[in-house]
Amino acid sequence: MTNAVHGDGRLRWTSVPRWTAAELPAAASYLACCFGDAGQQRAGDLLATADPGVPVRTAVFAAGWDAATAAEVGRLVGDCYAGVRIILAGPESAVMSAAAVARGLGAAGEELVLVATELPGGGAPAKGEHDTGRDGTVGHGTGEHGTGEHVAGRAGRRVFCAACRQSFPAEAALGDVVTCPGCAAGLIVDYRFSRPHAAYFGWPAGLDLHR
Amino acid sequence: MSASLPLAVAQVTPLAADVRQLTLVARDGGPLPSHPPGSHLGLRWRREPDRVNSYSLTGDGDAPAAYTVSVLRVPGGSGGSAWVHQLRAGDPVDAVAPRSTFAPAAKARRHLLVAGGIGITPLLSHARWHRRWGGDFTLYYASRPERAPHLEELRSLCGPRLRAYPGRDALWADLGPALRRQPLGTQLYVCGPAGLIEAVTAAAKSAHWAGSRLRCEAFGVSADGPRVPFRASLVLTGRQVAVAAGETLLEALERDGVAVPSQCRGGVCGECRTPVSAGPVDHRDLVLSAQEKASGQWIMPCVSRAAGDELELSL
Repeated sequence: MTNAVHGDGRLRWTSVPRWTAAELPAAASYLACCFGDAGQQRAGDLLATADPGVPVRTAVFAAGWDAATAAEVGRLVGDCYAGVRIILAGPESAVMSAAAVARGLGAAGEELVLVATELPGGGAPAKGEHDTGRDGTVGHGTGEHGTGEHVAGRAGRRVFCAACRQSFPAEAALGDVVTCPGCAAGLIVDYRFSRPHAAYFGWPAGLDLHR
Repeated sequence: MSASLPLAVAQVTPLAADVRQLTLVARDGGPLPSHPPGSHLGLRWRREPDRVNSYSLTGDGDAPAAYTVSVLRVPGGSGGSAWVHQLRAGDPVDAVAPRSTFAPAAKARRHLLVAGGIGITPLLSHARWHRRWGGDFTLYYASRPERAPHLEELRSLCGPRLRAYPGRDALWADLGPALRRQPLGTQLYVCGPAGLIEAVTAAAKSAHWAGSRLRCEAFGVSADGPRVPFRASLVLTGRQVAVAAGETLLEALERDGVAVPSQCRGGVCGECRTPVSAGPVDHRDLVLSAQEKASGQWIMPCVSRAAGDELELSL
């Protein structure tokens, strides 16, 4: 399955994360959680623009996401004081998972700076319309907005299985069919992304509910 | 005009020389609507013309047997607080059902409450709520020693979670550093005089608190500023209303027989929101967001005025 159902022009009506160049906001302190070498590089580039008097804490993880990483990110975020800005840089899948952990611990969208390394960093922020999120804020964190580029093609994505309600990592493009390791259902990776689950919605491919 | 909630005074308790607590029950003895913490109750103190003052409810709001409000007598005010102060047990009171404008943030990890003087009232409601449901909070309360309503009650309610100060300087010595040591996810609430709200807002901003982490409740309004006469054109009815220097736009509209719903008449409640079709607005209210103010599409005629000679309203 390709983008026949949802052309890219219609992405703005979906909840798929869309990325613009992140900027570093002023802060009382910074926490950077970097996933993989590219994440470390991009977080470093951002922090190079920081006021040198502001304390910075940096943690480097593998590019993947697992329970141990989740626990450590939770511990680091839990130690932060109000006034911090948290930079999460790496593959979209890890960044959105870390953002979900941070939000669960009380971080607000404007306290997060999200960088997806699948997309180049130098581009100008997308101009034009600003989609307003359900919480009334524009975008969901600096760098991830209602406008901009989405991670296209095959990429690492978490998929939430609508049949057995587990989420799992997959290599897939949007619209691909993947197999749930939990219940063996064939799932279409949909253009719907849950920020709390940090996962794309996967619905059983046999059910043609979509048209 | 909002629907009336018929109440009766059950008890009047002096809390300080110029602060009285009213305990109000339903006139028919029935149940009262629940409300979120930090809500306010409108008390109709005059009928012709209709005048309602809003006072913070101090209970936790969960299935209340009675409503309690604590009212500071404001000399030289328009008369509402003086009316409250002459009420006695048994007197009937027409109220407007509670409205929530200052509720606790449901998902906050911690709550930092800052009150100045009579601004303690909605935060007493918050403290009771957190006490009941186990929320993590600290209450900073600055008040003049001779007028510190609810202080003893707060000491027993909050224990070490209460930090009480005899004045603003003592408060800042503690609160300033505390603003830099709150865990991520802490929500900050301020209620008190405009000066306190401005100072806490500025301190939180300089400590880089996210804007969404701060909730304020003002009473009265810093609606000072020059009152220059202007003309209001009502484009839908073709009328012209001259607004004199000594009156508000709302008063001028009412004088001319234009029905504009209103309640607090102090730029706080949002009831009188009126659409603007043209002309710059000098916004003095605390209701409209920065974006709404910048859009020039709305005015709160109880406090705000034209920034020029003329304003066109969609009335």
